[in-house]
Amino acid sequence: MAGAQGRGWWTTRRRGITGVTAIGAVLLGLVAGCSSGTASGSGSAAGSGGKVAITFWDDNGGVRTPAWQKIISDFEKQNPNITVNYVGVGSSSIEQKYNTAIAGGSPPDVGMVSSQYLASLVAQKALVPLDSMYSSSPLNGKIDQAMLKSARTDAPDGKLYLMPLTTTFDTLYYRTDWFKKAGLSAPTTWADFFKDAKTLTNSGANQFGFTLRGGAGGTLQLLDALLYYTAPKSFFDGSGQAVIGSSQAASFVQQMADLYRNGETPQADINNGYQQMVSEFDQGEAAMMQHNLGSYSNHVKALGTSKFAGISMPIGPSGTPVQVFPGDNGPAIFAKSAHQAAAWKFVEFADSATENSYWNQQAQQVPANTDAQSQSWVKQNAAMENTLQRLDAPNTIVIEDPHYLPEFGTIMDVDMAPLWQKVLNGSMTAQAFVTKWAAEFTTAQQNYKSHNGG
Amino acid sequence: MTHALTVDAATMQRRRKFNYAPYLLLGPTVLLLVAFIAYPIATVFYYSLQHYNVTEPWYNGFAGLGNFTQLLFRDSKFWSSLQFTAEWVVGEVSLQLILGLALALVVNETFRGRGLARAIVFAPWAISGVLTTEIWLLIYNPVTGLGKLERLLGLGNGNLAPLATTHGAFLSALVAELWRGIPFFAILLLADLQSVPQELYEAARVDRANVFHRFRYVTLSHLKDAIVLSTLLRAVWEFNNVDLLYTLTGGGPADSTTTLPLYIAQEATISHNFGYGAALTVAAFVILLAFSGLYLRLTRFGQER
Repeated sequence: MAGAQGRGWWTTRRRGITGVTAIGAVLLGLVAGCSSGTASGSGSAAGSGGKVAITFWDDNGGVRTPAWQKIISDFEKQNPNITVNYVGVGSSSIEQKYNTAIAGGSPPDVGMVSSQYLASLVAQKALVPLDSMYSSSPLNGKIDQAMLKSARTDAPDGKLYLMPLTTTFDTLYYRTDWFKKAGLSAPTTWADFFKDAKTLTNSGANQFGFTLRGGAGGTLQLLDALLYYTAPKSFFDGSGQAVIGSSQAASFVQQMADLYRNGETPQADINNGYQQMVSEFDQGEAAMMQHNLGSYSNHVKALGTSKFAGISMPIGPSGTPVQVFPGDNGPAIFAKSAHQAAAWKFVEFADSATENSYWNQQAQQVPANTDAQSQSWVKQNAAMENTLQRLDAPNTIVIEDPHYLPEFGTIMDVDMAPLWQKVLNGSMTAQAFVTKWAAEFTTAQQNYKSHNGG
Repeated sequence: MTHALTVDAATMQRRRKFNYAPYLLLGPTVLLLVAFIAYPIATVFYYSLQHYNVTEPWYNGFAGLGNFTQLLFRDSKFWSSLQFTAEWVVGEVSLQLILGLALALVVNETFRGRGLARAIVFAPWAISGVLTTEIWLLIYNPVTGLGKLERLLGLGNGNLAPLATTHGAFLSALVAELWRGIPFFAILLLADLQSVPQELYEAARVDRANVFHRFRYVTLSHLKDAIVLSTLLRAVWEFNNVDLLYTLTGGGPADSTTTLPLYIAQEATISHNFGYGAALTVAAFVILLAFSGLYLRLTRFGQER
């Protein structure tokens, strides 16, 4: 009897142990399943028959998804052995997503990358230099030289990691109907700009001369505007000091802040990011707005083509036209990719004249492929044509923000963005602001040079 | 020989009797806790002692207590964000408690439409932080919200922007979070209110206790443990609040609504300075741990009176 009880106990226990083991196996299987899923996420060989699957991350998912889907479809027709897995990532989180993927060892094979964080990815040794692939490619000689130079300048070692696909330039949008009604002409100088902003403000009717970007991304626009005003030949002088701390720079920042403080911009502008700023202009609250060519199609949708125009940024007191080169945006191949040759084929295809023209026409941005630049749609966009003319003018100073500095994002978004809001609300002087800004850039440049030479 | 056989048999019996089942049952849970809680926490402590910035790999390496001396002695933003966090937690938790208790007392009464009233009171708790922000952003937006109302009522030009000033942003965020947080206290305290023995109220009435005395010595006395626990939980959550403030004010204007967790998020997502971010996280962890211990001790949580 006792033996029978013992066997019953053992049988019960054995079933219990079997059950627990099964649960454990299921859990381990889940964990293992998760990890294997992650490992294959970087684009491994897809199935048999020599077919290859590459993963492509778009840095402006949603907005640019239809254009990429068409390009990918065209590419897969021409290259039946390569499948491109498209992943659309939001533009505000792309850098963070790349860093997380790199840290986790599973970045995509190829992804759209911007100059603003190129140096950070290169510092992590996450990207493959494209110089040799480009030099032996049919693309060689077909990519805009200024964009290639910019892509190389933004990498600490001067190599080509980002294949330029597009760029977009600062543009001053203004309401042509309001200007005409007030008897004003397009604001081509900063003096006109400040005067017109005051003239066109009618706060009682909720109409303002300008909409200012005081929140996310605001310091980048302010920095560019400051360069258009002060027209320096380079961002750092011969002794390595950033040139943005001058009294002239302070005067400009003060004038911009006065627009806000005098009610020539909406009160909410101190927090404005891109969307709020564009929405104010498109809803007919503001006469002028500084942005880039990328928002052109939004304004056409909201206002049509007859009520607004885009022109190059105003010229400062020196009378010298300036064009701030904003850096590039284009595909880069990740070092962890097991299919770099397939990834390069995709890059080549996206940068070919037809596809590059298509993508940029959809985005209304400047194509990197010089054959695409001569397409008729480029000439039809007056704002783009205007900017390209300034770029070609012999006396134009072309200058670029120091995106290559690893601290660039920290200086602009963490350190200076709150201080710009302090200048706007009057709790910091413009001179103190530009002095600190210049000092931070000077220190960052010195650190950069001490670790990268030059 | 016989003795040895007897010992072996006894040992075998003990071995057979050793119950593995609880360990096997607990095993997967312990594994998961180690993998998803203990390991990440240990990693944060490890990185807090390192220079680790993905954009400046040349500085990476052991930092000792360098990150901590920086935050304690050279980082004014740490102290300003900590001060704002304290104001935020005290303001939010005390107002949520007072208003939540008041609502709980109201919906605890018997009246027509009580079910509907309770549903309305509890509804905001079911809404996510980001969605709450979207609702309040529309309210605070000059075009769609208060500004439009101001214009329609002829009270101004519609340029009203509550989030544009430092005090306005704080008050606006406070109100939005109150809207979401009050139901938490109302639900918890209502549940506890329903377990107050009616005899206590009757006994108090016999002793000629007035409404205030009944509330003070019967209701509040009964609710004490629920209040202590809920305020502690809410304080920790409000301390760690990122979703609403990040999406509503982004920590601005001029850093005026930047809490310590928001500052940590900035260090990680914008500066990519994970070493310093980890040190800030450890500091927040220690502060919360000390606060929780002190709070439970001072309030004598769970002790019989």
